[in-house]
Amino acid sequence: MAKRRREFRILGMTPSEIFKEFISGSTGKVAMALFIILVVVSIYALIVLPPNFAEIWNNPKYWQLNPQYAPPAWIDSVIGPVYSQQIYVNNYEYSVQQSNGVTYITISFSVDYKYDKPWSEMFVVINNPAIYSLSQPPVLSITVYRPDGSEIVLGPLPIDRRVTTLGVVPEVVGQVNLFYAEKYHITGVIPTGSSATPYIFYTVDGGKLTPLKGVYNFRLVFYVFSQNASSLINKEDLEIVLQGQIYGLMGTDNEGHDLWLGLLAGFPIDLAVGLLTALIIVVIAVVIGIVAGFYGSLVDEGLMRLTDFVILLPAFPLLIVFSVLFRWNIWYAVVFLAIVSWGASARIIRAMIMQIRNAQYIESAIIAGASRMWILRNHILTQIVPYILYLLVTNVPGAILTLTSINFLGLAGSEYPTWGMLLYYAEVFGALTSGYWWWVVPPGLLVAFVAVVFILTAMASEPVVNPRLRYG
Amino acid sequence: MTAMALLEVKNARLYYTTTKGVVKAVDSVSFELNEGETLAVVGESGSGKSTLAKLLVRVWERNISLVDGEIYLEGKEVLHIPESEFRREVRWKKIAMVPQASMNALNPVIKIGDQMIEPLLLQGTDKEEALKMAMDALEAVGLPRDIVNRYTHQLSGGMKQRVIIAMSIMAHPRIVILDEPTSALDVITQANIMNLLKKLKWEFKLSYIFITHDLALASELADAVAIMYAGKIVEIGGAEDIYQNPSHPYTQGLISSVPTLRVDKSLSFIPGEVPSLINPPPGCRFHPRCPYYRDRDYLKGLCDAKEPPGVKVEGKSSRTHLVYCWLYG
Repeated sequence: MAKRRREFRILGMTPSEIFKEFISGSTGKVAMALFIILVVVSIYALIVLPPNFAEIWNNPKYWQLNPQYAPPAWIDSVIGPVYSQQIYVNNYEYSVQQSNGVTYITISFSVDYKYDKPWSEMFVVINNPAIYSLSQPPVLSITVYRPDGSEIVLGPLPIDRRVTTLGVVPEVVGQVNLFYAEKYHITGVIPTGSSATPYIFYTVDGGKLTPLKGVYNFRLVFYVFSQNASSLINKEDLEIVLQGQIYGLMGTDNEGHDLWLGLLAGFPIDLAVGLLTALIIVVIAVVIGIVAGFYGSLVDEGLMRLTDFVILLPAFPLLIVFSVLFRWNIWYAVVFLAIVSWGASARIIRAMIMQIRNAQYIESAIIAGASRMWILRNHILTQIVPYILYLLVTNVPGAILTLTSINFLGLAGSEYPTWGMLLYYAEVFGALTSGYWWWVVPPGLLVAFVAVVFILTAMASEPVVNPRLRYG
Repeated sequence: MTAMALLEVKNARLYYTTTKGVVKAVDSVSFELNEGETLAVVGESGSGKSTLAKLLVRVWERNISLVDGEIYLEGKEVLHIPESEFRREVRWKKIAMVPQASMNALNPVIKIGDQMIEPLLLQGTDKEEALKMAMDALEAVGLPRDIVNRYTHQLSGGMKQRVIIAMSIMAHPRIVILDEPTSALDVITQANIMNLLKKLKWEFKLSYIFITHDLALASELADAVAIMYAGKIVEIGGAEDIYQNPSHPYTQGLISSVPTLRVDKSLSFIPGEVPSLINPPPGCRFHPRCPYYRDRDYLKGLCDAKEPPGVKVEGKSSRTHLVYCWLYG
């Protein structure tokens, strides 16, 4: 016989054998595929999301350019060009001139408007604070050349902040109103409190406002009252954003959060929460179960009374009460949930050990001089390890569902958005009654998806953990 | 008995404590086992056969209350030596045991090989060497060597029994105690196992203590037979003598209750049942069921009062034929 190295084995199987066994059935293949997706997406999320994502998520300023309550961008490709897309204009003509101590920066770009619902807002973003915090702020004047040959002149307006929201500047509102009054003899087109931006893209047809489709040319001129402004400002510092009616892969919520990022962030955190809870449950259950089952007598009696007590505790109501009382975050909830959930598992492990302990092969081992540790390692652990793995896998979806539920109640939140928290805000802001399906359906489906993945994994691991089911 | 017996048991006693009282499972049992001999220990369920086997390999339950007597193995007393010494030098190496219900004696989640070598590993044998010994033993019992990589559930009942037998002969013991080795098997498999046991006996020069309730089966293998009743040996002698000249009323009853193929005879049985070993009948323990005691008045006051002495009966075989009965006393 060739040299036998000490291999790593569980249940007498090497990891590669376990893997083969696991994917031998169709359930196993599906479970493996879904599990890989789950893990890959989680890793992807950790890579893609910046490390300070929690901070970003909770900073409303970060999301101010995004539309609120916007459906996902891909619905245009389903129902045709109805909603205008979010456009970040970076690619524009840029020229700088100087005369008499004033620097003129001219930007021109064009957009093709082909939608039924125009852009809801236009932002002028200047990323260099040196520009907008000059003692005499720069002034912006905009000329819009519309497809019907008419033009609207907006401004001049002072640019004294990073983000200038064009449509809400009173001057701009006045100028657009004036445009409609002069050309179409309609006064007060823009309702009070609304943005003027969409009305740039309308015309009047038969006394009614209709979208005017075609190519719009924009010409923006910045007057910077400084001789050396050309060294202060460069092309990358300037950005024009047309706020769409639809946004991103998964739409936005009430604050303009990109829900895609929120859902993505939910993967690692929900997985971490589920796995951590399951791990704590299993560790406690195994330790209590082994000690009780193996040592028996008074130790057993004491531990089992404790177990009974834990089994009787109503976990979810207690979780709600304590989360409210102590303002727990999700990690406290995880630990608490684990501490009140190990009872049944510990009892089953104890029962298994009691049964194994009295088997004849244990007697033989004792006769052969096996120590307690030997018996524990070679006879008892080998038989309960499969069950431990099974417990681990089956406890994950339960924990995720419970913690999602508690999050859904607005309790035990985290800085990071969890799916439960997305659902909570969706509920608070009436997503369901307002038809914001993109806010409700994806997080709900993902919770269900993770549960299904783990349940399938548990099912597929049966032939691995039960040698009786092997070899067909 | 000219040569020294391989195994000599003198007045062995083993009592258990239970909540109801002390169970005298083995009470003053004495016998000898010679080199290369097969001694069948026959008795009803609950007569203390298995306890006797456990006593010999010193495997007893926790609720033991008394272990007494002397057991000489190759002239050396082994009942009162320390457990660690017994384990190191005697168990498996000198006396091995095939446990009862051995179908359940294998851990379902450990490979056969790993399970077989466990006692060897615990004694510090190198794993490779131990595995080789296991495979050799498997070959000896007619199983393929690669069975070491199988699990229990992949084997048939007969194969499991062979594995257990292989385990017992692995360390080349002198004596193998077979505790009902064929009890859960069908007749064909039973015959196979019996033939295997005969073969192994020659090959490895083994001595067997064959524990069974089946007199017919015992006749297949036995050179000598000991009949046990209620924790005591009631008759012991060479196989021929016992089968042809059963002297104890209990032995007679046992033999006449063995069914015969295609012969139309009504099966006789022994009325009553094995008495409680907590409070056994005084005197001869068989007397409440004994037909002679019932019929013969002179036995009254004798059988139910005093323990019968061992009486030699003339026989053909070289072994002493002893019967413990007042009929001959």
